Amino acid sequence: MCFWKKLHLGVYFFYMVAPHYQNAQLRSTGWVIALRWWYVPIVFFFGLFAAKDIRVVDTTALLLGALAFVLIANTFFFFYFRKLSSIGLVSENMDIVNMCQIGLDLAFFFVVVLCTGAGNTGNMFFFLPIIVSIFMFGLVGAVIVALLSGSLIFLSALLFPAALTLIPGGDASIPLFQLPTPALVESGVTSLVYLFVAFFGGFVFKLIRARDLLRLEQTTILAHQLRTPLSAIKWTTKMLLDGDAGKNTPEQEQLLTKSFELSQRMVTLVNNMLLASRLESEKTVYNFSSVKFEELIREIIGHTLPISTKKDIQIEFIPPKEALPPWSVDPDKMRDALQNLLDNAIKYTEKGGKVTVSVELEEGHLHLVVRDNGIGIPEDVKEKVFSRFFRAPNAIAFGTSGSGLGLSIVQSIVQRHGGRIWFDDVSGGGTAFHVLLPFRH
Amino acid sequence: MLDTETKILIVEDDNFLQELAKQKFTKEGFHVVCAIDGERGVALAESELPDAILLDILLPGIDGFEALKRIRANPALEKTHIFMLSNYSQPEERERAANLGAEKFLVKADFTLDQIVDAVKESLAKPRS
Repeated sequence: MCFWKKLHLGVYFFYMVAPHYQNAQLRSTGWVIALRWWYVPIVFFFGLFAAKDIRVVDTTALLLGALAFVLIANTFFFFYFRKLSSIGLVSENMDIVNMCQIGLDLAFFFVVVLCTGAGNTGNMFFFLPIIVSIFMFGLVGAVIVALLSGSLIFLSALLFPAALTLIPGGDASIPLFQLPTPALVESGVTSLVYLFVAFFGGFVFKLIRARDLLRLEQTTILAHQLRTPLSAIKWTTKMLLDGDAGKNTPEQEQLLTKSFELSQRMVTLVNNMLLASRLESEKTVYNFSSVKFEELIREIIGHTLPISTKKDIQIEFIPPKEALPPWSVDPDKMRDALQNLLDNAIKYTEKGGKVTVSVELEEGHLHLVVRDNGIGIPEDVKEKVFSRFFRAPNAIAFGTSGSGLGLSIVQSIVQRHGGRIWFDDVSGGGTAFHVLLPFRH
Repeated sequence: MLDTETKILIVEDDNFLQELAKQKFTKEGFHVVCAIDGERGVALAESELPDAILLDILLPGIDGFEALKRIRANPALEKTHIFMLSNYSQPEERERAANLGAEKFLVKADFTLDQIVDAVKESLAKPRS
């Protein structure tokens, strides 16, 4: 059991740092940190095998030292990233982390290129930081990194023959910099290719980014535009229902009630669209404050009582065995997340069903489970559950309405709290959603 | 129930929404005055000295925030309760309105008119200090 937990943490360490963050900056940073565990050792082994005898230094020791340094730095990045991603303010500090990351990669590859001789396969590695910088800093950043990479290659071409020729003969009369050597010409060409990749990639990325931003902006404008006529429909229907324009027959009242419910549903849909596009945009600021988490859950359960009572669904709350310390969350966002989870549980459970909410303190984490005995999630769509606008076929067939945005909103909120969300099947039918939140003061 | 002299100013550029709100508030015993843009809203507030103002944000000419600022700068309207009634709902907008002295921030689509009336009545029951 303990072993499995440790293994789980290990897997988390290497892979889960890059789950599907909806925020683009978080996503790319997470991926680069996770990938570094793999590409750095690969490049290291390449360096080890291809190393030329430099004599100035022991290449094996130099490479080992560089590897150790990069791995330690990446461990730091990993934890710093987790900390940052759990705080609301992302962009500014994240940029600094990313600059450090790219600087680190450049330095590491420089060491490898230096050890393996200039103007060879080692030069290819520099494409990595260039491509990464395209995603992280866009066109200008990529060009700067390409120029840096080019100069490093150039420097290695200058240094490498020098290092080779300096020691063996001990002959000081050999000029250190013999220009132009084939290696120098080659490194010049390589630098140009770097620049080309940076320009081209940066340009394409800029176009994609502009399209994404436009889409987000359009969603926001569209949602706001929809709200005005929606308000009018909702207001008038309610006035008619209340008999402001004369008494209704039972049939009229029935139709109006339906119409009012539908307008209400549309408002929820539009609100969710706004919320989702807002969470996706990078400006969302999270305001953390200390809350009593147990009370927050009870409050949300209270909100859902009208719907659950109507559907004759029993909601049970299992309080934690030991009292929870005050937990730092963004209360409004966390309310949205909990509300969505509970709404889903109720929505996809048959009449007379049961929903259980429990919360426990587990090794400094808060573990929340929302369990239902509802229709469950079919095996073949499990991967798509958190994607925007996705609704499982059985959920659609179940005859309930939904936007398919709820869980993607929940996931985004949980991740910005530095937490994790997943789900598993409940034996006998149903689904349990788990949320694990790290402790924050 | 309600003092018949309770005067409310509705600043709303959408004719239909304004008409609906006017009907509802009149029915609830308010004396209703309406403006369709910010400038006229401020002018009416100064001449009519209403007890409460419902203020939209997206308005032709000066927006609701600017109107709010001008109304709050007038000592004669010190006791007036001001409510934002808009379809904006972002936290920044709520915060800005609150800082400028709006009492409540009501999102049109999230409320029905009777809920809006209730919210206004609730605030009017407590005079502004």
